[in-house]
Amino acid sequence: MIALGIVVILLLTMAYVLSPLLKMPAPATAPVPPPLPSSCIVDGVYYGTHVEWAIERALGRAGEGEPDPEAARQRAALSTELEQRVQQVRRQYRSARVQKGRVLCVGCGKPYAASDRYCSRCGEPHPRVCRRCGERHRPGDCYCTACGLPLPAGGRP
Amino acid sequence: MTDIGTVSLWLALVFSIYAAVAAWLGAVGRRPAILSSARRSQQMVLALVTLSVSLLLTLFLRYEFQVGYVFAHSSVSLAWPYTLVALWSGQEGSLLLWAWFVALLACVATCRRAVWGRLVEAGALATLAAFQGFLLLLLCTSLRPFVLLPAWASDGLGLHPLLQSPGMLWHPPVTILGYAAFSLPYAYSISLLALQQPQERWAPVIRRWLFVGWGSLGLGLLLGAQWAYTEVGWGGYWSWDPVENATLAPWLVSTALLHATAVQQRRHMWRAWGLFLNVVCFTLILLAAFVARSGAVRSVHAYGASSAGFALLAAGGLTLLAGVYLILRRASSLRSEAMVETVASREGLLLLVNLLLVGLAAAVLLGTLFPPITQMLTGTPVVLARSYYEHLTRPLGIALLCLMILAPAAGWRRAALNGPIWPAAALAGLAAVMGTALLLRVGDISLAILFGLPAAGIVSHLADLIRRAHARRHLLSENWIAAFMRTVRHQGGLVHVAALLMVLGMAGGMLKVEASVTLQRHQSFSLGPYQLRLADLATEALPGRERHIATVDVSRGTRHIATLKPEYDVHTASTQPVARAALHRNLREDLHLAVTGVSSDGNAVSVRAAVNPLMLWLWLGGALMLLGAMATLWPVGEQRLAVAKPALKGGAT
Repeated sequence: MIALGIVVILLLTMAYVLSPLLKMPAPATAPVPPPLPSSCIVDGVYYGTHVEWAIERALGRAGEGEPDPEAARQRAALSTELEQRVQQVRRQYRSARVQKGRVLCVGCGKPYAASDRYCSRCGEPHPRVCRRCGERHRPGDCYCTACGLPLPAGGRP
Repeated sequence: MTDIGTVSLWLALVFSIYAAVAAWLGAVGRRPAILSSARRSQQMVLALVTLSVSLLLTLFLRYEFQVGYVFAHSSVSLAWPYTLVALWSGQEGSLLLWAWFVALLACVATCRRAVWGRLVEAGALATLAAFQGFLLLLLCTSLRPFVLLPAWASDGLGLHPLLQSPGMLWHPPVTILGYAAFSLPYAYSISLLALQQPQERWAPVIRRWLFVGWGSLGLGLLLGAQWAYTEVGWGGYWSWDPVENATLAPWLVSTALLHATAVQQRRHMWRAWGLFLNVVCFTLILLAAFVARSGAVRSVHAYGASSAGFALLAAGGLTLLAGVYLILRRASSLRSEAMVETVASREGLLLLVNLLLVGLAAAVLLGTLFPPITQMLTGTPVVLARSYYEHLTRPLGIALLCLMILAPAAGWRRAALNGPIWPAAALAGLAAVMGTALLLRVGDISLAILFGLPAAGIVSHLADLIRRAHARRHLLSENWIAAFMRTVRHQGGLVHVAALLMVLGMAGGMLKVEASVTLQRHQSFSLGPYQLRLADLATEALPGRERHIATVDVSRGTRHIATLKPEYDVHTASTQPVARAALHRNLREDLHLAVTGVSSDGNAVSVRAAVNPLMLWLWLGGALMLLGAMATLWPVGEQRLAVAKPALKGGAT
């Protein structure tokens, strides 16, 4: 009887742990990072709050600079955007490693399909397509084989 | 019941491994379903380990002596609080408690819905679950708490007489909680490095858990010191014992780390250094566990030899290698945004503090590990004397005190150099005046330094707190009490005052006066300002022991001030008597009285009496330090400036 009870509890436990795997796969959500802790940046010092800076200033232990709330906001926004972009590129890099041999868009990182001349997401031209005549060229070509436009090393006009 | 305990530990191990793997896969692949499953698995680990702890407690309360662990650490004659305490008095129980704390903290930190979904928490859970799995593996293989004896026993061996003390109620669990709490900052660091996440966003989270570990370990050390102070034969509150030292080293490194994280948050510097200290701190925790559990180092506080000690050492090596490898791998993204421009800045002083604290920890660790190292190299263990530690720690401690005096006057970058010079000059003058006054008073330069520096530091920090509170009052229109209460949180000002009070208490030990005498009833002797008279000597029979209680009347001049009753227990199960001191305490000094022997006819008693100046300040300082740490952790809302910004330019008046 005890053994049966243990088996039942074990099954219930495993059901509790594994049940999330049986649900319909939810779309992957972007991680929500905690906010940047510094809101007051003066002379390269990241004070926690304006109050902290003001007290340091009142005691003569802060620089001559003034906090710029707009700069702090822009920095926070830029930092968040940069981090999101880095994460995005990392994801795309990983997916590109899976789809080896495919070319990635330099604008947004989306892989081009074999016949694509422009990125379907951001409209960036394919790096092996001439920007003047649209002719595709091979990696390492120095001039477009159709119109003669000079191509930089790496093959992107 | 033992079968259920064993099965629950094995199941907890399986769930722990699953949680580690699932959390990692979920974090890397961004799979919410797998992450949710990992979180549930961790909750099951906590439930199962809680079940194991409850079962072991029940076995102790029911005196199930056929269980090996209960037989070895309990007996029928044991008082009931010590029957519960016996849970963590041995290797197996204390390891189980450690695993339970890790499971609990892992759930608290990473399983809340509000933060779930962040990659770093998932990575931290994977690391914590892996470490928790390692502890559970030890509990399932080498240190099994639910093993049955081959024969039935009517009574157990009992708890060691020295452990039957109120100190046993608090000191071990609080220290083990500190050990467990340090695994969180490590887990977050590894997660940040492995998942290449930005460090600055997570610095406050890591710092919060670091404070929990630092506070718990500090409280554990303090409770241990208090216990050793009243226990005769343990060499006073600090005896530089290997187990004590091994726990002190990570606490010192974590103190350095707390200072480093302040620089990291304010200047975006020392990212790699902060992560490295985090890794070293956790490695030292595992090393401390190795020292206490391996038998490689002789100590009165060690558990005794076991194979788990070397497994912990191997785990420590692995954590260090993994951490250092990841730091080197991510070195390019861990570059500092700025550098220390001058030593006369807050970051410059904090750099020196870091170097001194890490140097102190390295010196203590070298002394602790010197016997096993010399035994390995030469075949003979060489134990370093107490003087080694005293000669090394004094100069480093004095340098730290000097920095603590100057710290309130320093600002970030070059601000203090460009600002008024008078605060630093006033502090240096204050220290010089205090030192000179003491030198003239006591005539001993080392005493003048040891008392003058902390006293100057306390004045310096209190003055800084008052100036900050005043500035805050002006800027935010707060009343004095609110302004002061909010100010004590800032920069751990209260913690520094408390640390300096503790140093004063330690310095008081240099003026200690003691005497050992043998007394018969109604005989008396003098020690310092006190006259002590043996009024009575009683003997009472208790279960398993005979207790001798000396009643000593203490008077100062003609005034009777206290009656002290030191105890001397002779246990039937142990040849070693246990003596507990009686204390008369005030802010000026402690009178410490202990019985060291009783004549065979029971008419005479040998006592050791000591007058320890300023000893109470050590404990008050410790308590204040914890309050300060808790105040720093206490969340406060965002405040708004009450005056217009141009008014700030002139500074507070």
